[in-house]
Amino acid sequence: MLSVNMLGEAPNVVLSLVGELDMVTGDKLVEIINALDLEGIRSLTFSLGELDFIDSTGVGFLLGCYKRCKAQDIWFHIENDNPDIEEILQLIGIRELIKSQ
Amino acid sequence: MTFEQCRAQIETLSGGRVALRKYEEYQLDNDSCEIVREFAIASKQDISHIRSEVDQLFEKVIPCWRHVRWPILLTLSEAVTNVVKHTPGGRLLVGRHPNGLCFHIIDNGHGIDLERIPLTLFGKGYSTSASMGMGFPIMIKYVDKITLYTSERGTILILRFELDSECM
Repeated sequence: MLSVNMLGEAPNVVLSLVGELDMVTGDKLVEIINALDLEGIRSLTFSLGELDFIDSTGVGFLLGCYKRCKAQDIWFHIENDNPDIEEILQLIGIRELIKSQ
Repeated sequence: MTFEQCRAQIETLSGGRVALRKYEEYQLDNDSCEIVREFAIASKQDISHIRSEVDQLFEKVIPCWRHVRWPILLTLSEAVTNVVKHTPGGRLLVGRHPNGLCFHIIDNGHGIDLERIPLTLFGKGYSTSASMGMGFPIMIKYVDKITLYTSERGTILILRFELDSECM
């Protein structure tokens, strides 16, 4: 199960992910991003503090969001304080990618 | 590349932690893994279902499960997701061995071409479908021993985790 809570509004949107992000729930994230009016957004932050689980497919969905943001000059950020999740983000390389913005 | 060349290359690249075997060499009882549960892998809903069931199963019987669960559930998720993404389906056998846990992931796909096995296992970002291609690299990072059997009949992965004796 995945819940996506919007904590901040345009132009600086914060989306808090709660639950699990994987192949099962990733489509829900895509639906929510598709429903956002990206025109009015300057930054998009994903807060992963309440995420119980993420795998490489889940990180892949975040990467897809990053690419959409990059295409529209929206600053993309990930907030996370879970060391297990941080290890996966580092291993897959998305942290390095975001740094290059 | 011959099978023996591929086997040797994989052993070298993995420092002995990944072993390639011929499909016919797979036998249920050749790794002292006592199977305790079996799951079908048929759809993507099985990915989260399996994680949840395995989590609940071992929480009751492994004293230190809270400290070891993350890499084990992550690895399982990667392996089961691979079956869902790349094959018509398969099954997961969950088991225990004297020093830890073991998982057999058996699929009904077409197997991995010999020439592609090294890249599939060790190449970050390599995938034959629209995916991250990080499943195997993640498995190799966290699993103590992986045995891979593959042929046109499908692929079998045996994942072995060693746990501290106090944990068991």
